[in-house]
Amino acid sequence: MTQETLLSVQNLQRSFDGNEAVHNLNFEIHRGEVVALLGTNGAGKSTTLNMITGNLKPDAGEVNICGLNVFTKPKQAKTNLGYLPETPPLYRELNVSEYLQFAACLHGVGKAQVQNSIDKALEICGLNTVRKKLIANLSKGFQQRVGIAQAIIHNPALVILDEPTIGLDPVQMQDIRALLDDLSNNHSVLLSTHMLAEAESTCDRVLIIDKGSLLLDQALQNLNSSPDKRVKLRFHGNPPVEALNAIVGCRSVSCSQYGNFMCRYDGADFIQQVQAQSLENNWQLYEIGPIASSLEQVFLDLVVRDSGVSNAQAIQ
Amino acid sequence: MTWLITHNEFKRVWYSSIAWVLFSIALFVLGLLLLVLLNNFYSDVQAKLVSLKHAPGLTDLVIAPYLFWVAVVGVFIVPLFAVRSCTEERLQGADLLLSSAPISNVQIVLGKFFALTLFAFIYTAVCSSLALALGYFTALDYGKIAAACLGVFLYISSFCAAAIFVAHLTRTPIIATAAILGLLLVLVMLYMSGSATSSSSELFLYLSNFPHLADMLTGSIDTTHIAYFLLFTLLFLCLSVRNLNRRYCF
Repeated sequence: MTQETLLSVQNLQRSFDGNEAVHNLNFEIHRGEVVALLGTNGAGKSTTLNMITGNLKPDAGEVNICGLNVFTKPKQAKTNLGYLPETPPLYRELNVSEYLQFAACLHGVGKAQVQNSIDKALEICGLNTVRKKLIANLSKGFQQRVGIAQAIIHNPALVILDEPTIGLDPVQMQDIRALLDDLSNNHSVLLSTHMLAEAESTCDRVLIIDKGSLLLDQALQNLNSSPDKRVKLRFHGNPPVEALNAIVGCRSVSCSQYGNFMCRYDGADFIQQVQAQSLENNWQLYEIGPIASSLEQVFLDLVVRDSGVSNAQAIQ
Repeated sequence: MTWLITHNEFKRVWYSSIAWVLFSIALFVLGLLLLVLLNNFYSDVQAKLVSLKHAPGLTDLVIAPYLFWVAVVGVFIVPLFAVRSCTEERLQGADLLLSSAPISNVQIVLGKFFALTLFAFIYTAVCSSLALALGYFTALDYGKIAAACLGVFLYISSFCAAAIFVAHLTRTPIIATAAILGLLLVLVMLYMSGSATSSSSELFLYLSNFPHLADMLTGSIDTTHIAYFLLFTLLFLCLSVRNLNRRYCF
């Protein structure tokens, strides 16, 4: 069975003053998917999202939302789109209900359905208690929720969220993640973030972008099934890297200037073997710990190593 | 959709204290000015007019100058609302709500323009009503006043279009405000340069919006003036749409 493509990005390019911000980007999002667009600050995430939502003209390339070209049929294409930019587009002098009413009408929700849409969005985003409050008086977390509410008020097929948890405290972050979980039941979501835990907890697929180029487009499930694991080892003694490398199951070892060893391994009994070797050779092993999830590992491999920083330095 | 944006922008104008404060200050200053003009008319001018055969009346000597100042104050107030509606909106990232919605840039520009024009209409109407109150005590030439009010309204609302264009060019409110007032000065300079005896120029006089207002304040409704204000408005609205088209996809 073929999946319906909601978003198709083809050969997207954009430069600013000769600096290529996005280079030949290609990817698709299908109905029901929650996809994370990952990248470091300045990787080109927001530029990409601005082009997808029609807020920035690309130098070249094509974006189709539900089969409609954003650049040639923007009105029709944007009907299927809900967008929360990095800074929520709020009118602070309005109260929450007034603002959502404006957003609903703006997105073409019929007069008869406006109140229902507002009630539903307030319910989903947990805004019922503040519906009559001025947006200017809300906390940052609630303002973010109002931003998400305006993005889903017209029940779009595709919701694009640009760093929805940035600047929030841990409790607010948790709330927004729970909200994203709810959203994923009814919408396809493209979520831009540089927080890997957020992507791991909410997304089906990840796109890793760096310096404007797409480095990885893979289902999270496939990443998690990777046999490679990483562990951080610390010794009072000073074992040679070659000795650790020689242990069965070890794929690579690197050592930081502070004496932290980072080992990548795929064997089941690698840890036991390290402990045994440590006892045997008096390396005085005193700390063992997993240092990264699969996604973090992949991200560091693709992005950090690419920029010339060793993994061991990156994890200190 | 245009009406929806107009309604929202107009609501936002009145929800902020700045509109009430500016409106109150403008009314207070213009009220004082009317008082000064009236006092001057009764204490000095009226006695000198008795000997003249077709002497100008209160309408020409008090209300016309008063409406001139209504127009001047109006074009100083308008930029602040244009900056608030366009530049500040962009600075706060709220413009992305409109540009991500299924509406055209023409609708965005027209919506904002009509909201400012509606404000200009209310401002002109309220300020004119101060002058019209004199009708209880003396005979006024309502035809002349209507022509002058129309001139004031067209002068302010056409400048709204120019202010919207300039306010869309930058995301820094102070620069936008300075640029709009700079444009206003250029238009005044065109008038001064065009009317100077050494360098008088019909073209400069036509290009400046000031002589068109001055003529309408005398009570004449000339299609040249109406056409000028409409073309002036249309030019800046088109430039605003073009500017948004370059920025957003439409």
